[in-house]
Amino acid sequence: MYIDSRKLNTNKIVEADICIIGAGAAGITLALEFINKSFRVCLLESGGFDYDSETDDLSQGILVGKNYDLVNTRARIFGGTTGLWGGHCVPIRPINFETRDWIPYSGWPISRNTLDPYYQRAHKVHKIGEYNYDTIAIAKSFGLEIFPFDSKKVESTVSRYNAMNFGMEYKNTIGRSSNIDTYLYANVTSINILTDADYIRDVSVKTLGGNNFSVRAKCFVLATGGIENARLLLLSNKVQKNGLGNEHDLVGRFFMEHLWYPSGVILPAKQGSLLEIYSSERAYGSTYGIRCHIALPENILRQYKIPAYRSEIGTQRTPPESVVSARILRDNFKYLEFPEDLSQHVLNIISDPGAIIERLTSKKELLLSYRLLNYVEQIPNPNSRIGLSDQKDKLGLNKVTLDWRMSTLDIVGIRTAQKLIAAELGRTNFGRLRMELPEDEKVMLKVSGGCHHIGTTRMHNNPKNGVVDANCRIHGLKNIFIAGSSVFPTAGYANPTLTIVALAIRLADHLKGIMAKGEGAG
Amino acid sequence: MTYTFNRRNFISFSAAILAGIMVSPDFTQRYFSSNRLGNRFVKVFAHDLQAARAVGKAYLRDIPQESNASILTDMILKSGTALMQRLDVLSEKNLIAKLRSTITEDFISGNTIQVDGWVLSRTEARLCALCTLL
Repeated sequence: MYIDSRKLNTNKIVEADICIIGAGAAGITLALEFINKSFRVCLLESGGFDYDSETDDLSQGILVGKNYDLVNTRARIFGGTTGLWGGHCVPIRPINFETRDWIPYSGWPISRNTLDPYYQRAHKVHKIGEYNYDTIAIAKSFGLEIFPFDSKKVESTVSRYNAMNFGMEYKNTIGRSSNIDTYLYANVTSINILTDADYIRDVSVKTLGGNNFSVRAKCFVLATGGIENARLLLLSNKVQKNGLGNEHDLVGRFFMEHLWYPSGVILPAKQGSLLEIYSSERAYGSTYGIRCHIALPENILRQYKIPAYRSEIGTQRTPPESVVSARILRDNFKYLEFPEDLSQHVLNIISDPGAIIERLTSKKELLLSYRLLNYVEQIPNPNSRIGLSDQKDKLGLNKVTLDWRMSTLDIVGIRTAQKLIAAELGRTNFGRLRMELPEDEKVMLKVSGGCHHIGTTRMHNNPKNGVVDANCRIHGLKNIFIAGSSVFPTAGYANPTLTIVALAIRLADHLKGIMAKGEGAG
Repeated sequence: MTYTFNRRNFISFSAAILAGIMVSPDFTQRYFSSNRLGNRFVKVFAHDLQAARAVGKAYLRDIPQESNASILTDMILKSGTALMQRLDVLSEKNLIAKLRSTITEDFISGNTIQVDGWVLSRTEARLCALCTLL
């Protein structure tokens, strides 16, 4: 059942067995796992079924470090950021679960093997077919071959794609469930414990309309995303003054992104199809597609001691520079502006006017080349962090601050990767690669994120090194868990949503066990 | 056509063999001058030579100590297998094959160099440098 919280009586107390805070990929996956079970579930979502600008404004915050879009990389709506994403699904590779001595703070308390059965189930939630990432076999099914890289130097990987909006896809399924009540426009403002208690008693909820209510449950799951998970814990500071679960000052730290930097041009010796399966997504099943990528294999990461690296391949068809210059001047003149390098553009046009005429009069095919879209794992940095500002939002809560920091170590791998890729292209005489990497400091200025918010409530068995344990339970508290990419200790290069869903399924199984035993505080 | 190779005509031959080894022959001319990619790959000697010279100039700008045809020829011939040193007994076809093989070896062994960002085999970069001396 769906309930508009704005119409509730103020000070109502909602009772449930499990309270899930947030209806994005993680929250909805948990809810799906609990459908028609014997226990009652309360699902709280800040937004409704449609975008609401006033609700979205609650995501505004203050930037302390590198520039970042706090609002448009998040979505306060039923379905969360699955209403925005590109559908890229790939599991985290085994090496990324290991403690790597060249990556500080690396190591998960669980292995890839632990997650494999949950990845398999996650595939069903995502509707992306079987749990199979055999790149060669998948390429062959299209009658294509993967690039003949020496797989000890550069490897081909495959990802599955389904940009499914979890909110739209599962709205009716969850709505029909007799044991799940979803409260829309419900903003959790505080997670409450009693003094000296080690369990959560209830959560306080408020709507933008001003009415308040609370939810009491045996177990709580915080699933509001990598930024908001940390913020809510920090805001819940009436008893634990540094914030809930923050005895060791770890909540909000280690904010990581996937670093994205398009750079590097591949010019093929002849126009062919060898990179075809890399350069675009292809329909593979009725609901999903696949696409190949280039990555560095585990032995190279160990040898060169670099973070995980993957590259997408984009195609481009480039006309002669005189045509490009003519376009640039046309676009600038439209707004009565002049480009900075006006004289160079004029020179380009004067030196090759024939190309412009030919472009206007002919349908001759342009040269196909490829661009590398480098995608890199950010190294965990405790000083890259979420915090609280003194500024308040419309609910009267401290706005979030983000101090996103990275170092040159994060991008060292891009140069190594491009040199290895260039060597393979040359060895096979497929073509040549032009590296377009300025000094590290200039790269750092231009690198951007993939809209992935990772690491702010990291997982570790030792409470001095992590906020949650291997079961995603907050250390020191019996009945509150965290779902989402905020629990990842490291980012790898894999887009996080498939892993978010797999971990949510695993957590759901754990909570079903707790419910079956009649455990859970309260 | 059968060549009788000697050190003198090896230099002019280098430009021709680059047509089959390097990519998009006028890519460097356009790309080096304005960072834009050029036209379709065309196997015409004149265009290849222009491209090769552009690469070669950039190479010698970075490594001026190799600005000598004799030095460059020695380095190219010694970088491959010993057979390449006996130019006079090599057919055109075999010389092309040996140079291609050397270039491949360069990429396998990491004997590469960046010329204006382009990652090239050292041998092919030197061949281009030879072309500037034509």
